[in-house]
Amino acid sequence: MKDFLQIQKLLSQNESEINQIEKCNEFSSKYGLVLTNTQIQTLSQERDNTLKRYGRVELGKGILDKLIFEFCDSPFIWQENYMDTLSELQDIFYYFKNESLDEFTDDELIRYMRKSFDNQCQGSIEYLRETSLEDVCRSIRYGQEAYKYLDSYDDDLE
Amino acid sequence: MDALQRYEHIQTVRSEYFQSLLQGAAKEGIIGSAQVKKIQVGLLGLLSKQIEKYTLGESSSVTAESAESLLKSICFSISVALKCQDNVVIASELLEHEGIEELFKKGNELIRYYFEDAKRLWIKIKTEGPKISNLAYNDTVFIGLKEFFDWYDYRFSAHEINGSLDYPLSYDEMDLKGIEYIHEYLTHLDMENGFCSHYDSHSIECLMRGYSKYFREDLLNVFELVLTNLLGRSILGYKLDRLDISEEDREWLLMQLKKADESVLVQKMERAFYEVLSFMEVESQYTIEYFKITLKNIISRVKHNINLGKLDKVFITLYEKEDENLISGYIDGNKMEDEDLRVLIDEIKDCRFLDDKIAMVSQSVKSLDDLSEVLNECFFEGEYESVFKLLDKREIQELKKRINENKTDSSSFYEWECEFLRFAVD
Repeated sequence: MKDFLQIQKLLSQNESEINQIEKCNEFSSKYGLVLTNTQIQTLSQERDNTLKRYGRVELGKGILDKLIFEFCDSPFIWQENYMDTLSELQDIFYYFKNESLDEFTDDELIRYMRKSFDNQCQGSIEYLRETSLEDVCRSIRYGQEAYKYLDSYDDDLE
Repeated sequence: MDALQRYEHIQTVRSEYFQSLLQGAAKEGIIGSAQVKKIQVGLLGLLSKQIEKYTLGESSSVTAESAESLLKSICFSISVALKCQDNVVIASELLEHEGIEELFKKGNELIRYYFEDAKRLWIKIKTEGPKISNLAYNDTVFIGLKEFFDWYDYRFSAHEINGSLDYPLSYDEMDLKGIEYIHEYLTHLDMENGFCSHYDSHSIECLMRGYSKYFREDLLNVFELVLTNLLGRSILGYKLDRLDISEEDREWLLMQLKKADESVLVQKMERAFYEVLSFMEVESQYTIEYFKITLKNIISRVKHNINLGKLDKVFITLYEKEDENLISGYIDGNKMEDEDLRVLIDEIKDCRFLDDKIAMVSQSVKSLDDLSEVLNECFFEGEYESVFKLLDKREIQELKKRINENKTDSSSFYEWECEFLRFAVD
């Protein structure tokens, strides 16, 4: 298995990923948020480390572009903390994919993260990681179905 | 080195045919490193597609365990496609020239075929197979295999086996995975059952009882018991339409076989084996080859037991009567939910006619615990015996045991319990 996954590196995935994020830059620049090439590479490297640390495998393009699209209009993110926040969010995302037993789809988890981040957490990454998501994932592990949680959360917000 | 010689050096493993073939062919230089790399990249592409299908495109990543399982499933499918060539040379050429995705598709088609064929065999075994009173056999045929056919997923976990197969075959290498193992297991079980079906289930049960008093719970192979006794009868010169071997027959066999040196013993057993086969009209070479492996095991067991000076666990005397004290391992039926039981008790209480009450009990009560409750609440003196008559021998034995175990003195017996103990003695 490990041998096969090492070949992943043979595929020139990084270049296409950089192109992908550059396209996101065009969109996020409307909100004054831009990533440099070095930052994109750092985030990509961090993603590899995170995946390894949490025992996950990802052969596609990753979720960085989705995170950018979802979070770029958050009032709690500005250019100075943009890169660090994305890095943390990426780490939190993969951590909670595991913790939620993969019950959340990518989009659901990112949507939930964004809503918690802006409302309950008031932009605090620590609150998001230690409290908000932890509670949901615990409920899921106790048998609560993910979509029910999302629905009730949507209702609360409305 | 001669090209064919290089192929001979490739050592393939049945459970991981694709991986072992690729490794061997690469080592012998039959497949170049560029092709190996191409295959690996192809595998990665396939894995990526499978992950997308597995997550319905809703998750870009999966846990390492899921990815590993998906990759194993892909390799299993490719192995099936390569293995059907039955030849290392052709399989290696296929691996070199055919795209990995094509092989994967071919493998999946074959797996679907094996699945359907295995299901056909399973249904045949369920409906036409001998009625064997052995827990492992019945659990395997009616529960374990059902679970397998209900849950098997060739797309993402083709290499896995759901459901437990406890019944031991007379010979099982257990070096296959997924549907390949199940297909082989069922093929062999069908052969064994076909062999045993020449004898009625009563004779087989007596044979099993003769082998062990715990024949219902023991992990034993019925075919091996039947074949061994038939070999004994053949050596004795008896007709093969029955299975019994008496105490005197066994003594005679021990004397005869003890005298013979090893090669003569093997010859005798083989001659007997072919006589049994011709009596059974077994002609398929595949079946004969499979039975031969069992013969080998039997011969070594006979040799060992001759050295010990007794053959009573090899050639079995049929035991007709069940010793009631030895009845063990009674398995109670499913208990009702408390609420359902309460409703039933109320209904029976409202009922005025004994016949109707009995009909309700026989229809709804499946466990002895529930029956005790019902007897406590709904029946009166003079009515109990009609209920007790619903029970079979094993159930009476078990209920008696439970009543005696739970009570310390006779004054604490319920009315129905006293009457039941009197009924059980009769």
